[in-house]
Amino acid sequence: MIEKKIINNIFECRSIAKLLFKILLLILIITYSLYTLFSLIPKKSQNFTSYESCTSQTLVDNENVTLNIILDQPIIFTNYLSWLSHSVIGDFGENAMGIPNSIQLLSKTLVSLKMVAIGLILAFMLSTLLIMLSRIILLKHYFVEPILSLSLFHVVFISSFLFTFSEQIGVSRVFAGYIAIVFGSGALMDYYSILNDEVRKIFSKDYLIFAKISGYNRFVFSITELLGKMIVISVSRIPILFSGLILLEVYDSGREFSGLGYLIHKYAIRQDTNQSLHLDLVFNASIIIIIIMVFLFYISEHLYKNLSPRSIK
Amino acid sequence: MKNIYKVIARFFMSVESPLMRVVIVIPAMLIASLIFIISIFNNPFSDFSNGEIIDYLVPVKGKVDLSKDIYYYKQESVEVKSEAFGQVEIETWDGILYVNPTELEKDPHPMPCFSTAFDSRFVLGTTQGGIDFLSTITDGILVSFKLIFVTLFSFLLLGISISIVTEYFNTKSIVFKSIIIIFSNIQKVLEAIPILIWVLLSIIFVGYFSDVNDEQKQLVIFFLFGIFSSPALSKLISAKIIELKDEDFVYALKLSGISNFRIIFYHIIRYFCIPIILLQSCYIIIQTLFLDISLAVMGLPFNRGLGVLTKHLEESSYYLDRRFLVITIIIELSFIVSFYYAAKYFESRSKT
Repeated sequence: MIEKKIINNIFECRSIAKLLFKILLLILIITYSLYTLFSLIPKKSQNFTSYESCTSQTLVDNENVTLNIILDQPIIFTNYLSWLSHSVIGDFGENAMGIPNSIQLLSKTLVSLKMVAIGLILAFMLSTLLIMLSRIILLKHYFVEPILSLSLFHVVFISSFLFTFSEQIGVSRVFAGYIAIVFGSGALMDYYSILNDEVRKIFSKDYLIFAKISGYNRFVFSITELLGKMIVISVSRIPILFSGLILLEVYDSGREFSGLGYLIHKYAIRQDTNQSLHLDLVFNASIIIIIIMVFLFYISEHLYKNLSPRSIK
Repeated sequence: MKNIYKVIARFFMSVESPLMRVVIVIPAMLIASLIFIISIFNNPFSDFSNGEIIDYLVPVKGKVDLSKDIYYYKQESVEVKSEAFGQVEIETWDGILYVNPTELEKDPHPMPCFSTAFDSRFVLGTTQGGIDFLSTITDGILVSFKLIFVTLFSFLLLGISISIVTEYFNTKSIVFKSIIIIFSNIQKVLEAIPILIWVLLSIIFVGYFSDVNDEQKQLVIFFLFGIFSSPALSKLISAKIIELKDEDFVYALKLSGISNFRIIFYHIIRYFCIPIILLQSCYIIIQTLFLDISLAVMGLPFNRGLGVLTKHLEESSYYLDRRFLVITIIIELSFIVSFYYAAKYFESRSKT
């Protein structure tokens, strides 16, 4: 049972405000550092974002502008403030067709979040199932471990294999993709082993051994600790799943899987000719990912701290 | 020697599942060791290096295949029209000729794997274009290990030094505490964000800002990859230093007048952190191999590691057919499996 005190601790205004301030400060520092780096890339305008007020500074003789990291800080800072004031209200500029970038970024963000969430749920379910099965030694040695070893294949190999066979056995390509994200590049193996270790560690604690001997349900006593650990482990696995997702999107060439990762890859790796327009998309997509990930990381840390039995005094 | 046997036995026994031990781990380690040794000796079987086209013809043995092959007669490509009474009718620039089939020559490529029919030097055969496949693989492995070395260098350097500075030399001064807070937040941010995003951003900046060639670009990216991964090692070593720095033996060493450098590297790192460092190094090697494949899949123009061979995944391209693709995947997987179980072994050692 989760005590009321723990819930009060989690939602305590002061600690929440402190946490949000910390996240905000970090995000401002990261965005400014990245903005500075993006501003230094030679381009047609002093600003790589596509706001009308900034693109008016375009040079006439078609030469690339190269800013200096120290001497041009006032220009970079002014442009950054302009970007910040626009982006907080969801204005990320427009593309060449006059369509707001925010529409594209929002749809891609939703796709990425959906895929990561489904991947995480699948990974959690599979890991839990495998942990339960691994209690039987014979199953652990001859079923669980061989299944987990499939996770040592690169996500692209697994998706290539699954995409080929999904058509033959009638499984949807999207589902095959999710399985590939969960299994690929060691994601499942990693998730399983960390979760298994933590569960084992928690259940070997004295108070749970005592609860078991006394005839109580161990899960009731360990729920807060288990929950805390599961949240932290699951959140810490999101970057790995996200990396797998980017690779899957690239391999799939953005057909069924087209999220933020594919957007960054599409514009960054190819380094297309119209850079001033593409760089703002790469920058904004990266910032969205960074904000989501940093936010999740610190929130999970906050939850873990408050759910830990040590925090209950 | 006895100790080596003990370590090997302990290593294989650390793999709990007998099935995995026999079917996966032992073959993977054998393949990886064999290929690595061949790579170190720069493929002693063949005097052709990666990319060098093997352009010689071999005499025709047996029957002439009228439907498929292109044949050569006195270095000139000819078309075989028909075969009768032990002679073949060929069309050359000078007109129709009747010659003995043994006078004809043919292009031996692609040579099959493990075949000595044409040339025993090409153990894994040759590609359609006449490139020795084993040389391509050994060259890829050498490049991949160069990348691993660069990644490990930055990973260990930053991971160990940050943990030592932030934990061992931790004082109560406000300036130092602020530095530690900044460092720990940088580490958290690096950890929170997918490494592939950092790598993609690095590719953009390295591509724009540096006047280095493709090979150096690749090294810079893998060096940065080591830095982005370093928080994992730093966290573990920090935890160990926190655990040990108030131990009696550390105070005794300090009172004996032994320098901090010696205490850290000769006592704490050497006796308590080596399994952690080896464990994390194995994981980072696996990640480097995965990144090598990932960058190849992403289509980076400057990727040259072993991973580049797997980029032709969907179609049997002119360069790599499916048979070679399977061999490459097996070899890559052998290295990954070997390092993974080595990491597991070091993990078990670090707990004891």
